[in-house]
Amino acid sequence: MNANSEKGNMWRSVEAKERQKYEVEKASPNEFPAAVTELIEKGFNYSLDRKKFLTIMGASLSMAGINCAKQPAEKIVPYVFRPPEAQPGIPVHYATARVNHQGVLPILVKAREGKPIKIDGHDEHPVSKGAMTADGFAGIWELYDPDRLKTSAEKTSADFSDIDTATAIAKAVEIVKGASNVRVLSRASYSPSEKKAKSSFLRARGSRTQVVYDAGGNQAQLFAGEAKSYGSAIIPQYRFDKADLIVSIGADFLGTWITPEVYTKQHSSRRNPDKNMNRLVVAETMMSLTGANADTRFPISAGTHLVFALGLAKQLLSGSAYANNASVKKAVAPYTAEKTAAITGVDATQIKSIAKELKKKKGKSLVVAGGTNTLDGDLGSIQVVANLINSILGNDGKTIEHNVPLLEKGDFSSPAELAKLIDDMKNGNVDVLILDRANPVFDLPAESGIREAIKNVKNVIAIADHKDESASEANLVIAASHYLESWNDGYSSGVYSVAQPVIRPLFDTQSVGEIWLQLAGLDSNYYNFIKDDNAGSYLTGSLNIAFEKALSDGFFVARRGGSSSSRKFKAGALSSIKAPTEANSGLTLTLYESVQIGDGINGNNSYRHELPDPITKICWENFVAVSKADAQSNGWRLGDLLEVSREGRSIKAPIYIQPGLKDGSVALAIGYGHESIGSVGDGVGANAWTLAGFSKNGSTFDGLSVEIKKVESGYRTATTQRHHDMHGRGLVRHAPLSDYKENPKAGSIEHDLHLPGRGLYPVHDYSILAEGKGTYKWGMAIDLSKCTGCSACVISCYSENNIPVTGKDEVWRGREMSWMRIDRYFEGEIENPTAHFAPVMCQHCENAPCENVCPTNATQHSPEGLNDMAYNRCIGTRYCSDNCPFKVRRFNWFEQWEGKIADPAQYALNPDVTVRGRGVIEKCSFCVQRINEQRQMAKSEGRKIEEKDLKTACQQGCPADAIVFGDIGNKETMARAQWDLERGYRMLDEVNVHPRVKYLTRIINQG
Amino acid sequence: MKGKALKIGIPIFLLGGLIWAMMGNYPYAQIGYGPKQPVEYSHKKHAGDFNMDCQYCHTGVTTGKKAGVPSINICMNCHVSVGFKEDMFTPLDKLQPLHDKWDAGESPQWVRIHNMPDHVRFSHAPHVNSLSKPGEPTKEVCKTCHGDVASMEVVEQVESLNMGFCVSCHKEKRETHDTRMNCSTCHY
Repeated sequence: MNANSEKGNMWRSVEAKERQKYEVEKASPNEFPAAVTELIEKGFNYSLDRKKFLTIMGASLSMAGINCAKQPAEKIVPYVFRPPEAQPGIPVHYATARVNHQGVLPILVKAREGKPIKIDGHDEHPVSKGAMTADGFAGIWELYDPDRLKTSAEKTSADFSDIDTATAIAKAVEIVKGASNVRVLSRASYSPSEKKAKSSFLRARGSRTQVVYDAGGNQAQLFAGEAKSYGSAIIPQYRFDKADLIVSIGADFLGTWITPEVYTKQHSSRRNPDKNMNRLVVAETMMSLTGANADTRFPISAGTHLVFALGLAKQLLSGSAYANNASVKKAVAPYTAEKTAAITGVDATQIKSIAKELKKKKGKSLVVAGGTNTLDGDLGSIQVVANLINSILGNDGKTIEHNVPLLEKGDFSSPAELAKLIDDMKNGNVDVLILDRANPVFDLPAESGIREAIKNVKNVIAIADHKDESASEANLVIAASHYLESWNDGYSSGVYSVAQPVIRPLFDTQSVGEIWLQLAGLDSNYYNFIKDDNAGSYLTGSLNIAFEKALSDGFFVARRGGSSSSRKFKAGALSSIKAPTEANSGLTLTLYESVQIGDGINGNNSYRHELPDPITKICWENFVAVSKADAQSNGWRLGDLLEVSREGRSIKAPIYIQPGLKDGSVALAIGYGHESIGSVGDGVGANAWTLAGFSKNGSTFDGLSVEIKKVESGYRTATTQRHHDMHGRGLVRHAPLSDYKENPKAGSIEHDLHLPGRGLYPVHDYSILAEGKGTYKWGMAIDLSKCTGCSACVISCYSENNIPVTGKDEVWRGREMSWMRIDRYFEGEIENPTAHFAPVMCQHCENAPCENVCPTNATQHSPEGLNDMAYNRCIGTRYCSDNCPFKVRRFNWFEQWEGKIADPAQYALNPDVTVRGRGVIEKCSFCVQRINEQRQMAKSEGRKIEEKDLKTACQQGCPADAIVFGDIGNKETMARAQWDLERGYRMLDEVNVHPRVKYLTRIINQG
Repeated sequence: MKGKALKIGIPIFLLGGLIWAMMGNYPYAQIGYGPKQPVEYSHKKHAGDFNMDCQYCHTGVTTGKKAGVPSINICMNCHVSVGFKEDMFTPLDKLQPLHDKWDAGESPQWVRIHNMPDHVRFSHAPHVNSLSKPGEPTKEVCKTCHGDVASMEVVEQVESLNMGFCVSCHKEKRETHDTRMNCSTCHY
């Protein structure tokens, strides 16, 4: 099957496939005065007579003249004492870590003139190896969020009044001192020091004081499942790099599950078709990033993840060590292949064949299950079944390492404890409730009654960074610092991380560790507390020296893991499992976490909202994903606003017709629908927690029976999926592994060159690129076998290149500014299509069509093969954009920065990249600022640029190592090696443009 | 009709051009720009009479983008012991502002003279390193763009530093210094 878009069966959207038409509405932008807007809107139909034209023309000309003025005087203010490392213009990198409820993310922060401007992965870290996610990169804008709490606040009568943070903490201490029943509700923490400071507060008040909950549920579920199956609550190390066959049941490990950056790195290291390529099989409801990357994907009905797992276990059971175990037999007995097929909607033969494959890969396979989208009201149940399967297959101890776990000692409370706390609150039995960076009013299921319960608490103290939904209910809000402003430490995967502040707190805030130290009445500063009271238990050798080293390295390896013996699976854990025995009737909802917003804790970051969802390409909103058949049978069309209701609660969200979704299943993302987090996040999307279920055994996110009705039509959803369309020309190529082994050029299409050897213009002369003259031939190779479409590169590019966010309206008009986009294609039948991704940025064509048409020579070719763009020459005719076959040029329709950017957001801008004004075209420059910086350095030192020193932002951001950039004129570079692979092809090469970006055909391992 | 347009139009055009030029917009307006600085620092004395190397103060010139205006601790390396009146205690009048700033822990706000527009990127290091010859004082290289600063009491701009100035040099030295001429050399 060499199916390519050339043959017309690859498509980017349902509308394109169905040729549906939907209405286009108009909205007025607000930057231009009304009359001008009218003029633009009316276009050439506007009755403009000669006189009027001359009037406007003359006025414009004289206005243009007034604009000129003498160069303004600038001041230079040098240091009084210059620290030797602080040389103006030269960046300083700090190794630190983001330690939050998600775990520990080792990062490298680039600071210019004392201001952090970019977050990158920490290459030297033994576990992460520099891997990052879009989520990690987005942290820089959260530091400079203008809506962050600038100081603490106290509620007197109805309104908040600002007080300084030191006073607020003193007041909190007073409140807590006099109170008898103090409770703490918090998110998880992976900082040993933070936990220790907090525990000395808690110790005085009894062990049940604190309740820790998990809003998205991924981690709590894993901890609970591990405790049930093996006795200890840990998150083991899943080694995707060691598994030949990976089966994921709902777990979106490439997108949102636990540590997607690490898993992506591991997984992609095995996506090399020339060397033991792995195979990924995914069974899930909503198409996740993992599902989109699967070699084989089974769409299953909502609420049946557990059934699929049990059905698979039954197939594997015979002949295994657990074959005669009564509890195991009893648990899986009802789920014969046929029964499982009937409930989940997968073919019985497919279940059998996957089981057969797994049996062949004993000890070399990995079955993962879980995630927000699998929470069925019994926390950890699906984990137990996944663990059973891994134990049957002997994977435990081999592809699952548990001697040095990823996260140990999860401090999550059981769902029953959370339910009890809410009951206590409701009954007025809680005097003081301290919220530690928790926003339960927003991110607990509405069914829990938290919204009403919190009103019955006398004193609510919130430690928060925004005046969010829960903090608004508080009497006292203590402003917490961002992680780039705080000292902290973290422990994960046996690695102890020291997190250092990169900037002093921008506002009157304190780090959470500091706040807890003061609440606990400990007289110490947090830095000393970390170093003297905690670091010693992880570091070896002289504390001072070891701590300094850990600080400069960012981490210290305290324990090293590896393969270990298998654990004994407690089959008794299966006895309490209740899975559906019938197929769903009616519409069933599954809630999932999205790649860009996650659990919504950083919902006020416009970059997160602007980043299109990797699968649906929708931004600025969550949506109700339904299958095409359901949409048709109910008469729903794109552009409808649907009301989803369950047990008296309802939300409204626009429809999206999701390919690969089972009929009868509906999906919706959590994390959206903030009411009070800031000017960006408020009112974006709908809060899906409204519909989630809540019980003593755990929250329900999957298999919720819902009713849906259409409430409105003509609703506008901003989606980039049809923007910058290249009209299907064999752009994404792929081939099965078996074909590739016979023919390394499999999947490629040989085109006849349009007018071979002839162009309108003379061929660009690169002959001056004689070897040894310090010149280079820049090129890039993107391996589509490795690329997962996770969009980390896109956000990294936004951060590096000062790309503005435009907002929902503008995205809807197709005016998003992202220099690189990830094209997502579907192929095959709408019921279960294959998804393909292709990152597309400026291809730096050797025969660039954009250059010829520029009337001002603003875009020119460099002898090294870069397609240069001089912004100050650009007059905004947009001919280049029109002539670009790849549609990668972006036009600034509005002024995005001057007068638009709120303090302190301007500090996130990269001073090495020009900030573009209105009326100018911009595009990917291959990070020419990085090239030039390295070139200048190399030139001063009289050498050539070394490949290891130069990475483009997207290359650096790619956790899958799919992007390689470098000097393709030099035979020794990695870039050249990739460039020369036979798998490579260039997009639209047949039109004689000769791009400098090569794509490597995606190879799919169909088993 | 035609004559009237010419009679009125041409003078208005010329007058406009004159006003435009007087407002400081003609390409060479910056030449001779030497504003008053908060401390009356004399390059003539330091770089000329004392023959100090430029790099004593402008430390970043071979390693970074910016040459760097010195932090005051560099001034104070000497001026804790030199530049006092006969009582050996009171600073000279010219140096009083420097001492005031130093005592207050602040920096003087120097007025920038050589100011590149924001869309131009210039890095000192590659230029200075590739132009300097062994054994020659740094100022011989600096002269290329900054003129003979060692003879200036108050520093002023001597070259236009416009695009033509940059390009002509890059063109001239193409054979000997591997200079680059494309847009992204300076604009990105």
